[in-house]
Amino acid sequence: MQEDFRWFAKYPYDPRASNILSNISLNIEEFQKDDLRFLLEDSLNRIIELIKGKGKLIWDNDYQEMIKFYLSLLIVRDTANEMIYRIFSDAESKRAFKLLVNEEGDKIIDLGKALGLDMFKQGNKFFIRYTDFIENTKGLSPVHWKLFNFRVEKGYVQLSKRQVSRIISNLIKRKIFNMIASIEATPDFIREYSNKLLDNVEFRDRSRIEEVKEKNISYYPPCIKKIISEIPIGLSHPARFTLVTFLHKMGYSIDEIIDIFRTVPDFNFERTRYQVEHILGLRGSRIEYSVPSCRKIRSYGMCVPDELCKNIRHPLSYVKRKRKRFESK
Amino acid sequence: MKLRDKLLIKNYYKEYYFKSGDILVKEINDLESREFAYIDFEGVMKRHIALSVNNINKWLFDEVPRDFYHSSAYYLFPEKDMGQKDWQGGDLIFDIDLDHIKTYTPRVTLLCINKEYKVISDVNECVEGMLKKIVIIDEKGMEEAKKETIRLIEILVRDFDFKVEDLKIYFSGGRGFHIHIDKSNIIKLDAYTRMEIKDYITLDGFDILNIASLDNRVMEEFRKRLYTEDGALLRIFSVDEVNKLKNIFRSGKNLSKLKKEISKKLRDKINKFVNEYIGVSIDGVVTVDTSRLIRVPFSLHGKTGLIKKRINYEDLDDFNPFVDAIRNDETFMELYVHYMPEMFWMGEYYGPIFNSKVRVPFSLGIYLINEGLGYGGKQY
Repeated sequence: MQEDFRWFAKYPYDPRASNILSNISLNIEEFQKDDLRFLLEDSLNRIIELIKGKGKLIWDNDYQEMIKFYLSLLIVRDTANEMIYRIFSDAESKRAFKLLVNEEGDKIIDLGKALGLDMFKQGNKFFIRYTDFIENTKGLSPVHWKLFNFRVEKGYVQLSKRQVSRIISNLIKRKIFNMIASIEATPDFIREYSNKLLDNVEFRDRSRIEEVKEKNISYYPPCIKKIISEIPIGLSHPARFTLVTFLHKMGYSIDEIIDIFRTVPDFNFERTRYQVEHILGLRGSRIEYSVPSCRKIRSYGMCVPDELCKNIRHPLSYVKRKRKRFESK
Repeated sequence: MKLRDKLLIKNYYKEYYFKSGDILVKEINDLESREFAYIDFEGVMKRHIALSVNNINKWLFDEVPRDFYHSSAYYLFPEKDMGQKDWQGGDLIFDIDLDHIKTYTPRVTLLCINKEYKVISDVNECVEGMLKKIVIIDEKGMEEAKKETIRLIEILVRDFDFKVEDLKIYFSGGRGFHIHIDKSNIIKLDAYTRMEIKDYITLDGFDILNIASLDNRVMEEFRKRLYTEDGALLRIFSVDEVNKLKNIFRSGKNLSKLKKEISKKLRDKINKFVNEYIGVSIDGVVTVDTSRLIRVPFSLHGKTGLIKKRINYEDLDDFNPFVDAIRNDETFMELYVHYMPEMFWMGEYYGPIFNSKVRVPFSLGIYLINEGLGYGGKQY
């Protein structure tokens, strides 16, 4: 039992913890009483430390650590701010990773299975079903976590302890986000703490969602430059598609885009106009298609990465970053 | 195409569907949840059609599709518009088409048309007259496509744990092969997962710098090719580079050390080699698109008159579409041929022939007419 508490203090979201939790007959209202209030205070501090990357990996009281996690969920939920849900889930996931890499292999397998993964272990190698691998590497570096980088055998992907810990902690991130989002209501006395949390979190620069308009080709990613250079010899359908959506986001008008296609060997004004308008959602399905991600462009076989591409997932971020780099010089 | 030829061919299709409708019904999994589409003999595409086990035979007889497709997807409302169909799942489909095989050079024939048809070897030989380029389907090309299909099946079975009997293997009726998988645990896969599976097969976007294991499929095959001195190596690497690579890939080295020893130039070449020779050339869009239209099994191909025929895995090696994908009750057609290269069809060789009347298997006649190489067909 003592050992169980240790484990669930580390991984309170382990579905097997529900047995223990259901045995705790503590009413949520009791936390506002003076003798338990410190737990709310501690939970808030735990969140703030975690977000700053200074979360503790050792603690005195396993039982309290577990309770604090659940109180943290309430506080985070009460901010009603998805950005904070995300930052918190991410921080918990990092904590999980640091703990997991030091666990025994069998324990990792048990946790993975409890979280619904089809996996097993042989010697010091871990195996996870390829569909679970694909599903739970979403959001990780799309270049490194491509299935073809790994050994796949009879439907299972072979992984090291470190890799499997990464995958499980990524799953935990999503699980925690969903736990927070599915909380329907929070008690009033939580507000005091969620407000403090909001005061403490530094929001990242909002420019993330700000539009980029840039007509200077030298800021464009190498794949786009390559497509542009290949216009005179003819473009594949995905290449045309990518270019049209991209140029549109860069602020080119429809006529300007059609003009750029003028040097295509089989150029036909009406057809080009039709296709461009279709892609931009002015015709047919009325869906405005977005610029394909780096992952898609890679899959089309059109990715020709340079150094800057390394940590970039979307062509539009490339432009922003390249411009920033240039301006700071 | 001349009207008389069109009617003649349409009749051939009509008769086929009259006799073979039941085979289609048996072959299509969950027929009533699929969208059907077809191109008629006027070349018009019609979509969003729902059919039932009870009415498909009559429908085929009435409509006579020239090319007949169904969705890979299963819908609640297959007849509604795209947004309202309510997707329930979709078969996982792989399309091997000669046009996508990177290592294959098609058999191209140049024709100069000036009253009569003449085969030429250079575009400039056609001074007066119209130039026509035709790509003939032939056994050699089909063997290439078959090899690629076998490589694909190996990956699906060895790496993805599919049972051979779960793979429905078909000759596409045209220039390749299709594999359909309709197992219940597969049909719910989303496009993201399908793309990852597709990339594993084609190796699009592969970079040796990012591999996580030295004994993944790519590196195993690369080493094998390196040490068996596979002929394709020298199409990308120089002899010196091959030797250098052999040194680098000697076993017992760890991954990060190995990566450091590979120069930028060598890295680019390895990636190119891997993509072209180790990747399997499938048409990726077909696999990734979860609501793709695909030719209906056992329907006739509109251009060749051949059947999209199911093949047992054991029979794949010996499968010859120009024998095995032809109707059992095949008849003959007499037609006027401008030009026909030597072609193997239904166990015999025909051609080369210029500007004369010939008697050929009916499906070959259809193919020649569709390629614009013949006209004036008569059933024999």
